[in-house]
Amino acid sequence: MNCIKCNMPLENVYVCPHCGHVDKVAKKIIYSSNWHYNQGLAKAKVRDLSGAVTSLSQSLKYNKRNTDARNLLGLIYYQMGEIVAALSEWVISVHFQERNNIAADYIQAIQNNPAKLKAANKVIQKYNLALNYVQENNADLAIIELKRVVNMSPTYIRAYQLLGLLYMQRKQYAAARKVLMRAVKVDRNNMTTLRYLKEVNRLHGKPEKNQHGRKDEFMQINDPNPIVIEEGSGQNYADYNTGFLSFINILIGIVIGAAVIWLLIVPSITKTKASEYNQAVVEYSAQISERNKNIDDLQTQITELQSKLSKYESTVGDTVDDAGASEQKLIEAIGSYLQNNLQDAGTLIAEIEPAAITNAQEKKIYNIIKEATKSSVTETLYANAKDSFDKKDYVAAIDGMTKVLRMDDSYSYAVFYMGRSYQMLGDTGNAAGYYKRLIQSYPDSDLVDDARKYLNQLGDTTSIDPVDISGSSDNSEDTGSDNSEDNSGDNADNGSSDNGDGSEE
Amino acid sequence: MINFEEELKKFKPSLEIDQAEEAIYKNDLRDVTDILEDMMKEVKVASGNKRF
Repeated sequence: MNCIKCNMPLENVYVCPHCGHVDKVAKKIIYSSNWHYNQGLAKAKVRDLSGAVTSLSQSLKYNKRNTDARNLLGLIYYQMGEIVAALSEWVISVHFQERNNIAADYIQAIQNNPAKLKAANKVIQKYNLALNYVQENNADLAIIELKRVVNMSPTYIRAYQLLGLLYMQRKQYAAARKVLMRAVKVDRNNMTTLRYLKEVNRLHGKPEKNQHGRKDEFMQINDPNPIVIEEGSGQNYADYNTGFLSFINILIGIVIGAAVIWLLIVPSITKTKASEYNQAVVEYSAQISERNKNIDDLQTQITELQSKLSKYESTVGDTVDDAGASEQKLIEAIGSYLQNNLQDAGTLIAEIEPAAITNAQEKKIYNIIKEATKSSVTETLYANAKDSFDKKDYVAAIDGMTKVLRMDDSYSYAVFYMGRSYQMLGDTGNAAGYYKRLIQSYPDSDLVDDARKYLNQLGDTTSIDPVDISGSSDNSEDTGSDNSEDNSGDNADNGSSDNGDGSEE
Repeated sequence: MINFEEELKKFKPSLEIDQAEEAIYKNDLRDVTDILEDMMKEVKVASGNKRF
């Protein structure tokens, strides 16, 4: 519409912004539009949504650029579950007034929540599906779908009305009344709803008054753009598909998954690892004990071998020492013998251990010197040994008597005093051996009786074999039966003097 | 007395979201001002025809 004076366009105003002319027709039109807007707003405040829609539509018929009326109409459509109609009104509103228009925010809010938009579209599709079922005379399926629809969108008036009508058709008047009453709570003066309710009451009778005095479930917010909010009803539809709730759901799922892993899988893995670890420990322990055992065995073997080695070393050393000393003494004896000093030569020969001489030539020389010096040395050696016995130096006596027996193994007195010395030292075995040797080898000796007496004193040691004097075999080979003759002579010479000593013991 | 068949026929399918654009274009946006302008145009046209 243009100003009748300056022909400038008048958009949503009745005073020309260019010439200031007041257009009376435009003023009446705008006033009428605003009056219907106020009527619509008042009806919306008392939840007369259908009446509000009528008034607001009338307002827009007068002035299509009445942004407040169009925005409120969109809100009421949205409240009634008519999403597409609401979006249409808001888009047109933004088309007429791009700036300072809250409809842009409403559109933005819907576009930013695609999940909710998808859910709303799903509600519409289900309603249309239910309507198809109705047209196909399949009321049962239609009722099922409509129940889902009103559950998902509790303010969808058309769904309530259709559901109520289907219940009425099936003569389920209580259910129909219940559904229609919910529709009335959303939209108080909807003519269709009220007509259906009236028909239900006519067919089924009026329901009893609510004696619990329940508070109205709806609350009106005092706002220039009123939005009706429905308070807690258990069957109200709630959208849980927002982005934040999706994130929360994913987070809860992750936490539950982690808890399941922690409670079920981790203990199993830990148990398996512990079992493997224990098995490994047992195996390693067995290996360690086996190796310790081997080490002990090897240590024992080392100890034994070391002891054997030291023994062999000492034996070899002694043997070498004995052999060396014997050779030295033999050389000295040869020297003395060549100087015709038979006493010294014999003494040195008596000190040599016959077994230490292994060389045949040396042994021959040893025997030659021994035979040559025996007569002149034996008595002296016996006297020295007897002197040691008398002095109760039995070790020296044994050493001396051994030398005597080396020079003359048939020297019966030396045999007897060997026995006596051992007996005095407590070596009853050797003592008995020498006594038995004396008794068996020299039965005619005047010391035999004494030997028997001492042998009896020794008791159970009489069974021990007679002692074999080292080197005696060599002597017997060389000397033959001459020794026994010499021995008897010695016995006769020395028997009387020594017998007394022996008997005294 | 309600005629159920007739009442059921009154229920029409709702428009889905992807049909919003179509609904906007179909919306009749003519208001009283538009009607008055049309009337004035017609008046002008009629008066013009009378002059010539």
